[in-house]
Amino acid sequence: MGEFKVHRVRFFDYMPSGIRALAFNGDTERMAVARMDGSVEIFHCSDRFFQEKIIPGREQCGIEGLSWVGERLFSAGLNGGITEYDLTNQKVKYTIDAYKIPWYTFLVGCEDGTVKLFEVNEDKIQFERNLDRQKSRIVSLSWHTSGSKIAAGMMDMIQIFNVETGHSIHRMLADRGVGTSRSKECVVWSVVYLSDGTIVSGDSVGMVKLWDDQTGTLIKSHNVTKCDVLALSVSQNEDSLVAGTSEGTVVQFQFVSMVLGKDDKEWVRTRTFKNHTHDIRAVAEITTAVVSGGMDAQLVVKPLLDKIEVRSAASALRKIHFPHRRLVFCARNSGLMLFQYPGHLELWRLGESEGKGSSLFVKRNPEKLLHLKVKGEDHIRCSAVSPCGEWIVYSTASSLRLYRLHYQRFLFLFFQISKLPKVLSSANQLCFSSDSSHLFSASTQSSVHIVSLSQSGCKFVGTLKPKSGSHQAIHLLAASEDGEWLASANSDHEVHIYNLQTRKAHCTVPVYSSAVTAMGIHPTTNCLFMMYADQQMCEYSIEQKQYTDWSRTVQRKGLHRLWMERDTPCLNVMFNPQNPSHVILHDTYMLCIIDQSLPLPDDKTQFYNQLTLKSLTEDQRKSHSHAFKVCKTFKDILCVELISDQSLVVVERPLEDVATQLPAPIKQKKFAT
Amino acid sequence: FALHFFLFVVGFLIWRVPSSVCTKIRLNTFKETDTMSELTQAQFESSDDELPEELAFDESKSAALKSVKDALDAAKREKNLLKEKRRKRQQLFQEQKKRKRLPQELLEEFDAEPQKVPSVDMENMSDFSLPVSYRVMRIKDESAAKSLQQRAMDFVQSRLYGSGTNRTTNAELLSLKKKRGASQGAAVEFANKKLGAYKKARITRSNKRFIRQQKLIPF
Repeated sequence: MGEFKVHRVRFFDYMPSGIRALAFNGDTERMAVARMDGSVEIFHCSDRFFQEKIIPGREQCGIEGLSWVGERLFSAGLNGGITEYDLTNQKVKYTIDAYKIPWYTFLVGCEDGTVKLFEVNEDKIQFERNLDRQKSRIVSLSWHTSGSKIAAGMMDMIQIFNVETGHSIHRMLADRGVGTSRSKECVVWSVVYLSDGTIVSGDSVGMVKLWDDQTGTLIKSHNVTKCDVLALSVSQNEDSLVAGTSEGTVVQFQFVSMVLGKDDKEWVRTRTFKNHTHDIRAVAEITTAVVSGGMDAQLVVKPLLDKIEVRSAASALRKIHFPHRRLVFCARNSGLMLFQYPGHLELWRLGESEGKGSSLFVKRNPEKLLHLKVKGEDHIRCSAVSPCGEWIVYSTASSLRLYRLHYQRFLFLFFQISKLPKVLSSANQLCFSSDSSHLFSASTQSSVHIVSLSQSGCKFVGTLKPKSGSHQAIHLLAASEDGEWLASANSDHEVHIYNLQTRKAHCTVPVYSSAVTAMGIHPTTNCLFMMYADQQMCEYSIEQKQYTDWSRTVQRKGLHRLWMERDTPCLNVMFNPQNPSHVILHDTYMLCIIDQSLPLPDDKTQFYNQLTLKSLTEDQRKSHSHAFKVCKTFKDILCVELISDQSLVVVERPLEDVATQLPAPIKQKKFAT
Repeated sequence: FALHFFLFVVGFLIWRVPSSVCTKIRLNTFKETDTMSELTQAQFESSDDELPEELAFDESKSAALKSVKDALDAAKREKNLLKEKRRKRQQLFQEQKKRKRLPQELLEEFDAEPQKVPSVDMENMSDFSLPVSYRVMRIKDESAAKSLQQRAMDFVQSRLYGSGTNRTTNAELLSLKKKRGASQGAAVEFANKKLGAYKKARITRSNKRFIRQQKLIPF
């Protein structure tokens, strides 16, 4: 198959940000996730939870609440603003600086004790009025489905407001804890107002309480944990409730009748899930699963097995640790690596090794050449480094910066290209041509701007526009090796191929139901190889404008069950110049080389057969080997790249290292420790 | 007979003296300059044949009172000494402060000058326009809003991570996992080289310093 020298890189100290809020849109089946650094991500729940869109955050930004209004997404932040997001272009549409409003939901409850109502108009939202001001801070809010009443969780109590009059109807006092916690106020972290008038509250004592809004009294109280209950969420048809705690457990309550057949239902605690190590700040219940997220920065999707008919990939527990976008870029010809952090970029030079064997001696350590901080407060949206290693570009929501650098032995020159063409104001995706002469910048309306790079600077060349189709933002770009073709994939599953000589649209790949997670153009055959979120793959010949024969064979035969059951998407497709029939792919837990000249495995063949093949003789190997060669040596892979001297670079980010830098978890006493 | 009588006299002596002075006497026996001890010494040294000397009550009383007065005087002297020291230090500070201040003339000049309000030339307002990326904001508004945001953040931080919460470290959590895991291993700080590297480096440095100081290793 081939021997590769592998650079195993672990010095990319990527830290994901904790999850603060979740909001599920049942109509479009999208889950919006807000993180502590202000970024908002949209996941497609029915497409293997692929991360469709990412809206990067800013410095000093915290989001406290997220809410869908129809197809529009709003968030309220600690900095006192309500923000609407432009989901087409993946950026912030506007922010209302509602002075003196930090936070909470969008029917906004405030630190100073007021509840402000906002009206959602066609293009903006508008402040309507205040409800009665209260003495203590308002921590959580919930509407009643009729829209006439609001339940507000405050310090030591819950109040019900009448929206029309703005006055408080009932005041329900929450108990403080026993013992030492008696002196601390009880914070009602979350409330949910059900349509039958029951209010469910989760507080800092660890109780989930059910209140009646007619009489203003406590119906039932469940002691769920010793620490705080931070998040509550009720399902669409109000028969199931989930609570997230500080310990990392998710507890489910269901509205069932205790005696079979009888009609008197009540809320009974049913399941407990322990899938997190740190505080859970947000839970949401979608039709078939419970989604939770918290300070350990992973999004956990736990399918509810009583709602699932067929055991499939959708019924397995899914943990999403890393973003579904590339954060590591490689300058193939010069052995330089670019790491994209939210607030800065790092450029490293790979080390050198010598000797033979499975673990080589490191002759020269890798060194950090450049630490480039972003100007301004916005986080980096995308970045790229040219294959020759001479150009670096990054883009935030508001600006794009291009740098030229020259590195040779002991000389390091670095300067910014200040005069950029006006069209390069911001980009959703950036890509250099293979000869580093052009920069492609994906911009609004699914168009791509071409800029030429030279000694004298950069010049605008032209814009590539699709013939028809959506205006969604492009999230992937791939340029061919000979500089003739460019492929772009957008969030509406459209893949357009452009002819760079004529600068016109060449063809469009037929739309598939799943999103494209990675694509690459073969250097010799000019075939576009695409990987999808549902683990399907296909190969499209650009010159002939149709799927290749190999691709049709794959579709006809189907892929192996174990390949389809993988739960992380492939993020990079590469080709080996020395071996044209090889395609190199990777996902978070494996590295795979597909040999298109070998037969495809069917469901009965052993899929992970590398070790078995080793023990066979040369002739036996020929008959037993199949096209998929999977290597599972590397874990928590962020990126795999093939550089020009035939060595592989594997960038790993061990989850244990991420775990050591998270905020402090709650101490849990375990038996025999 | 004489011995018996002698003892009786000593007892009588001690009993008649007020208790406060009694304790002082005990302490003061360690001091060389004390007439009382000399007295008692003299008392013991005298032979037991003769009658003990009539020790006037007044003498012993005055001796006791004198020792009390001495003690009080010593205390007063010490207090005065401290006072002197404090006064001298205060003076030194004043002088240092005077040295730091601007020359007196300048200060007087500033006092004398009336406060002038800078006037904006209103005629040229129309020509003046801010560059596109600039915004006008009052400092008052900014700081008030920020303090509310800060208060909110502090509230959440203190309730979740402040005192009274039962938090542990990530290293502890990972070490426990390893302990109960399938393949049991050492705690994370020992297994993972990066973790705690800073602490370990500090410990080795302080060990080296200790060894050098104690001269435990020759040269």
